[in-house]
Amino acid sequence: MKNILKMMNSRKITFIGMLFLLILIVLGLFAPLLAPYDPYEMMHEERLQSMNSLHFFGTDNFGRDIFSRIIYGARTSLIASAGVVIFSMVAGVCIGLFAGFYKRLDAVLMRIIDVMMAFPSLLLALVLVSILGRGMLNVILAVGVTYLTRTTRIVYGLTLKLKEEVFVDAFRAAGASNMRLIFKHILPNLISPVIVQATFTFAFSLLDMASLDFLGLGLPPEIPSWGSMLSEGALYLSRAPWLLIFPGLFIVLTVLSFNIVGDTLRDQMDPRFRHDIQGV
Amino acid sequence: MIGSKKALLIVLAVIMAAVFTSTVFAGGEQEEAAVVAEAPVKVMRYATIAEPPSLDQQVITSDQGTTIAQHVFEGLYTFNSKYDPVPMLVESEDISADGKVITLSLRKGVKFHNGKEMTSADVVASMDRWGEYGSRGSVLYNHVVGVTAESDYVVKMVLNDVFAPWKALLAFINGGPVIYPAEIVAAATKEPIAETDYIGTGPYRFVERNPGRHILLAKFDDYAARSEASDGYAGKREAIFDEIYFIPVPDVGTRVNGVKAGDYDYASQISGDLYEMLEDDSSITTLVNEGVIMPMMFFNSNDGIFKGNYKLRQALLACLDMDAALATAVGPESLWSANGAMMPENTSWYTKAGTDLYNIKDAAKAKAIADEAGYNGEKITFMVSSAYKIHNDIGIVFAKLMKDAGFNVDLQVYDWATLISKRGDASQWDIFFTHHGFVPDPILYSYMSDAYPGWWATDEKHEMADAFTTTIDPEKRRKVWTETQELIFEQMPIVKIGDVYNFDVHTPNLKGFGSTQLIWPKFWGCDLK
Amino acid sequence: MIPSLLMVSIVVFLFIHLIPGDPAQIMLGDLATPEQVEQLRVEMGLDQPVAVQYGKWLKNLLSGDMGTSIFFHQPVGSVILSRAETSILLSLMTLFIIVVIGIPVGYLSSTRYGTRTDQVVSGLSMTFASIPTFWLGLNLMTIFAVKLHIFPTSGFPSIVDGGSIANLVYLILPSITLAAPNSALIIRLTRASMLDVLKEDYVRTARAKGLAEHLVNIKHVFRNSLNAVASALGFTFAALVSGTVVTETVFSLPGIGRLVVDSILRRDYPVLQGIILVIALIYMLINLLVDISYVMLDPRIQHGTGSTK
Repeated sequence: MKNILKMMNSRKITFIGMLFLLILIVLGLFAPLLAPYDPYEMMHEERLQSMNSLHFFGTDNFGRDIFSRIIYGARTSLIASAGVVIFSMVAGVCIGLFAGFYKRLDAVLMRIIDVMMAFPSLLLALVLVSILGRGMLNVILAVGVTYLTRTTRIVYGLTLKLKEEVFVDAFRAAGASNMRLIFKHILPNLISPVIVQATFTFAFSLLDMASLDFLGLGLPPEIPSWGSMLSEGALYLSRAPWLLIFPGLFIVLTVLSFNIVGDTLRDQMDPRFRHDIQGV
Repeated sequence: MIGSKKALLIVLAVIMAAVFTSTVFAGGEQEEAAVVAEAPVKVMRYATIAEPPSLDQQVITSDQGTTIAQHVFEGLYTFNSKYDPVPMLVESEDISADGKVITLSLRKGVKFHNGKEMTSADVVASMDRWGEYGSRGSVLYNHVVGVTAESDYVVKMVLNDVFAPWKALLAFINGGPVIYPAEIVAAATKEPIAETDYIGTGPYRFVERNPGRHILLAKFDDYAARSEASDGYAGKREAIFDEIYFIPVPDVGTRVNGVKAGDYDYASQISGDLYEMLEDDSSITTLVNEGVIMPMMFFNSNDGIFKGNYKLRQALLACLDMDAALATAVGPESLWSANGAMMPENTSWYTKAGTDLYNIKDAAKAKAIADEAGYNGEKITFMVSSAYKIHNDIGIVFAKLMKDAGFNVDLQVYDWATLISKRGDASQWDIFFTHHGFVPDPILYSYMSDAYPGWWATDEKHEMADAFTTTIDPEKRRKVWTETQELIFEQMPIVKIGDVYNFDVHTPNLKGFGSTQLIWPKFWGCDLK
Repeated sequence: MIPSLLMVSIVVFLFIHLIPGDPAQIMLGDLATPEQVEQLRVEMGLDQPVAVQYGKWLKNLLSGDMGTSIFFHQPVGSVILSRAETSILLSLMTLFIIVVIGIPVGYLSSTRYGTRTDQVVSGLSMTFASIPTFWLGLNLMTIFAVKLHIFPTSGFPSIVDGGSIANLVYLILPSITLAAPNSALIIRLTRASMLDVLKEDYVRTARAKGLAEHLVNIKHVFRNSLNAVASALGFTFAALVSGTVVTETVFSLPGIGRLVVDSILRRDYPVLQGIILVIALIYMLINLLVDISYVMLDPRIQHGTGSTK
């Protein structure tokens, strides 16, 4: 706790990032209380209005209040993207670690990953929807598979390298089990590229999911999410740019905040890092 | 060491910059050189929204395909600017007193792109293939006893009964009977004719199809034009451009930008919401397409909650706000009209008969009728495709209006392939959404066919349809159509949302169009000045 | 590699027959009756059991025939080849920009860890990562093609097919569009990996030995940090080659990405089977190259031999 407070003091920008994420969570949780309008309500007389005192962020082509849709969209977007990130990171890290560490698993696991990489997520989504029906789970799986394979590749490469490091040999000599070596000694050393990959997965997946929503393979089209607001707004790029600007801005700010907070957390968690590097 | 690394970087950057600038300049020189060397070749570049599956008009009804194919292929009849059928490859017609024997004299000296002259054998073979396998062929051939060659230039068509719309069907090139050489078409079946066999009589011949890049047509030097002045698709067809490129450019923003930048001369299907902005833009000319697009909702008559329940369908119509739906999906009011009548206002078929419940936007009335119809909140599956923005947007607006009026609607959005596959199975849906294009005769509407999903096939309908096709007198036919429309609003196989018009853009230098564009833009008689 | 490809082909075959939709129906359009569709299905051999269709396909494939596209009525091989040119050239140009920008900037950012430069680079790269490609692409087009007339707006005339090398100019804006988010990833990965290695013992040892700071960075840290970057460059390049549908759509490029998506939407089974097989092959080859690069970057890694120590 003391550490966190100290960190906030030392880095204002981190504080701002955390504040923004906190606001988003509050917005998502209390959307019905905070949104000025029903996000589904279509005020047909007020379609495509630009920013004004009644509609802070303007209205879309259905005459729906964009500000309210952004607030409701926070919920869908954060849950779905977090789902993709968690799914692809957990599975990707585990597969990558085992494949990199155990030569025997390598051949099988990495060839399966190769095969998975080649499948377009649109095809996966079509298949998943025809088997499971429509829903958030499909979207997370269909989009997540792409990023799972990518995380796996990164973790696998690093594991191959790390397991040859002197310190791993030392721990092995000291009698550490394989599991202990993998999760206690190798994993912490590859966490920073994984965090980078996680941040990008978050950013990229928001838009990937929107394209599935649009084909009816994701969430129902009227449900607000930042990604679909953005891709539906694409047609209005020159006529009504606010349809793009606000969801776009929220995506950028969220990704930036995640990135800043992720960076700081990692630095704080690794004592060696803090003492050593800051002197560089 | 550092120095050398940095130096390497700088060198790389310089090389990169050099490559880019050199390609830019080389590109410029290249273009200029090309213009100088090939100055006599007049080229037109048309940015289309998508690629057609095939140019074989007999079996394919894609509008993109028709736009291109009508330059290559011709039919016996075509439409003038009023969309009346007039002779094209036919010289004159002779109809027997009972209206059942039609004798067509063909024009002489009409050459196919392979150099052969067109004769009655080609016409008979083309008609027969269309009649058996064509998309719209069976509509006519259900009434045809036989088509035979009387002599080299005379063809006789015998009908089993009077069939009023025969000429309109022969003139309707989309899914229509275009004339191929007999040796090509005789072997053809349901499978589209191969592109090596794209041999027609039109002012342009097919050169090549480069998937994803373009379809290229070139001027046909031996084209035999009609002598009458050009009028719509009819009359003299004069190829001024030597080459026409049809280039698929899927993104609407890119089509507009491409015309502005001079990379394309013509671009079709621009989003309605851009209309007002582009009208004010002097670097671009807008042209409204007169081919009406009619978004429609189809009810399932074979299964589910709407089977036999006409009242419930009417209840649903009562809550719909067509103005809101069309404004959302299309944009400016100049591009749509909330017309519930089955035919557009500028046609002689237009009538307001039966349209009392259309666009009344009355949720309370909808509830009342639904109660009367015995509706108890059963789920209504509403299928919409994401392939078209108007389907998707109107679907979303309607689903909301229906929910607000107390209907338990489940809006299902699918890609087009899934939708047309699901709608074939009556147990899967209650309503689906699609649109219908222009028809020269109301009998050609998809819902007039019993086999079209929705499966409207009541005795009352059959009675009307028979009366309609066997009447020749235009005044009597209009009367029958008025009654048919009343029946449509009573039994409600479909709900028509309104009339929607697309618009196209082109560079101001491109001349040769009227004040509005024909349904399928044609480029004979056009020139860049 | 052969078993993997076989697996891919079987899974694709099963997948595309699992999803609803029928190429015959799509080709004939809205008005076709069920009888007409059935007739065409029989003509195309789609009425046969999936296993039989697969057997036929595999047999033809082994004799070098990938079948005929249902939509284009052209051999699948030539349909794919005509698209491959765009995708390969575009990917190479994009990869070049990514490497030239991503690695040096990431390196700079890590050596200036915590400074203003580092923060600006971080901010910018994350912003580029979250900007949608269609937005960036259309804006670049409006500025550089429509207003300044420096580049063409869209399309890509073939170079191989008798075109000039100058046609590469058509790919400049698209490659910049694609490079933006992907360079951001490489910048961040380079930086993170550099920082990771910087903290390791041998850097301290090297520094203790009195080596100049920059020399330490370059010789040890940089080389050691490239492992994750190599992985990322590998999958990024493979993803670029196998298609970038949004950029291809915006710039109207005849690339692999649009072909994949269009073939899925059109249910053009033969093209889809062929193209996914080719994409799988590309992924395998690139991943193999990446695996080799691990060994080159760190000779202690012995790839493909023995089991765990």
